[in-house]
Amino acid sequence: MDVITCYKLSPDNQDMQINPDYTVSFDRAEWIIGDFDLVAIEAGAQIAAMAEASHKGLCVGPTALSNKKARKNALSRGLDSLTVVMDDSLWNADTNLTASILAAAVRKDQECRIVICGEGSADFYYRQTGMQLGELLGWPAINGISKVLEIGEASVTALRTTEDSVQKIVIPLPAVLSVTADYAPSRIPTMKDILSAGKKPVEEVALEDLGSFESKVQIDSILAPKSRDRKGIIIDAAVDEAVDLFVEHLAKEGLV
Amino acid sequence: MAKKVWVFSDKPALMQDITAGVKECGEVSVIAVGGRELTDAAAKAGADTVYYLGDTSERMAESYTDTIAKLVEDEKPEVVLFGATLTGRAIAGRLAARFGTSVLADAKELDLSGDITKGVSMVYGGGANLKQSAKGGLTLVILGFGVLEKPEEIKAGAGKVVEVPYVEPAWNITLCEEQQRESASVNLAAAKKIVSIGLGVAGKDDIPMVKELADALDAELGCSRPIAEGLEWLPKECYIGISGVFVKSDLYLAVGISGQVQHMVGLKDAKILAAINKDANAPIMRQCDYGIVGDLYEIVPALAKRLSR
Repeated sequence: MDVITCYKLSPDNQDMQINPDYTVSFDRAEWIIGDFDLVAIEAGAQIAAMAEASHKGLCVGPTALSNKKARKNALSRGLDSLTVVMDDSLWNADTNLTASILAAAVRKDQECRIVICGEGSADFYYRQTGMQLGELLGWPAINGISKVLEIGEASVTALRTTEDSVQKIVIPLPAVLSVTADYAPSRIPTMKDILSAGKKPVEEVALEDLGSFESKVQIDSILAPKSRDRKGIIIDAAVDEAVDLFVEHLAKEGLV
Repeated sequence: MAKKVWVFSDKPALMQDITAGVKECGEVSVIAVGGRELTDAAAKAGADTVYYLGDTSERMAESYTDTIAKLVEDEKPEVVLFGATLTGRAIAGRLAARFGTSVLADAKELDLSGDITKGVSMVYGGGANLKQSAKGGLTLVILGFGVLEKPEEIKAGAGKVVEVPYVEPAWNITLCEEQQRESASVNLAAAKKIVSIGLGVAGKDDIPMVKELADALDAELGCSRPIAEGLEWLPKECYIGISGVFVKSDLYLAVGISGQVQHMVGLKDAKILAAINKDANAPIMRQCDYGIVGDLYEIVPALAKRLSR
């Protein structure tokens, strides 16, 4: 049996630069695995260990995925192998496009019974891909999985954390599970993990070998928000005076 | 052009909020899963038609996905709006795959007026706004509380109830047990006034002091992320910022909050931003309407006392 964990590589939000026209640039950004996807890889590793399965990584995106350091980083965190599907048309791919490609790649692995996705990606955080992927495969799919309790022949028993409850649910296999951001802390790779990561197999699959795909949403613009003009009134006085002044302002604003 | 707009949320208050907000855009129907009283609640919020699917005593709300898909196929709405909850996301995602469309996820602005639905979502951890257009056909949108402007007076709809037969799905996820967990009863996204605390507050024992000020202002209590995650002094639902709550309050009073960007994006839409901070050079002091420089342990009680006078 195989457990496949899907993860996304995206430019580090911290490296985003804002141009004078409010457009944003990631030219100098480092491409990283998002925090939620690092958790997904850890969850996948734990679930694969429970199921005595091999743990395979699957990553879809633009050619920045050729980055050796990022591949090694993923492989040092409990993956046995990695498949990457790279194409520059996949920069800012919408959720349906990404899920369709992932589905085509998962279908190639006859041994796969469980697919793990993270809560959401670090760049768009739409929290959609796992659910769409499951439906495209025709497999049960569910989000919010906070703990896998038991893996049987035909089903998985797991906890699901919703906004106001914790559910114990049984999901028929094969299935796609999206795990919560706090499923398990992602491991810190040891020197041994890092060294062995370099020797693990990586398969590159061409997009056209998986089929033809199209986006369903058009991106019109990505712009940094204009900051709101604030009044910038600083009150620096003795406590009682400061309080009186502040309350006066609040009254003028109609807030008290 | 009057559009066929549908609304679904497993949270009744969110369903009502979205329904009332979208009323002007066309013919509004609600997909109701849960107690019978939902049909009335939907009509009150403006629903012309309420499709009643059934309750969740024997099956999860997610199990109705096939029933909703059949209904969408038969009735062909142009837009389906989902409340931003785990269940809303799960059902929207499956429908998107089923109908070969994508989802405008977590729209913080939505334009339903044209043939093509446009939405704005926050991306890159709040660093940018992504504006996108659905490519026609069925459009699915996920949105949170208070995104749509509601009219002053909410007009009820005809509320015609249509009973929809259950479609047995190919597979079922079984719910064995469900335990309620403690969640904050406050809805900061809808709060008019918020007093929010950060790491400038030294200990959990000091929270009642700030709460007293919040009460004097008739405000809700919120916080920055470290207070809720990490210190866990307040529930997770109380933190404002990226991956937390986004507020639109008339007043946001930040107490002992330095003003990191991850926090600030969550309160961009607050009308008046005030801050109490002992450091006149804290980032928040350069981005606020009113900044009081001083020790919060002196200012907060004095302000509470002054306001309760």
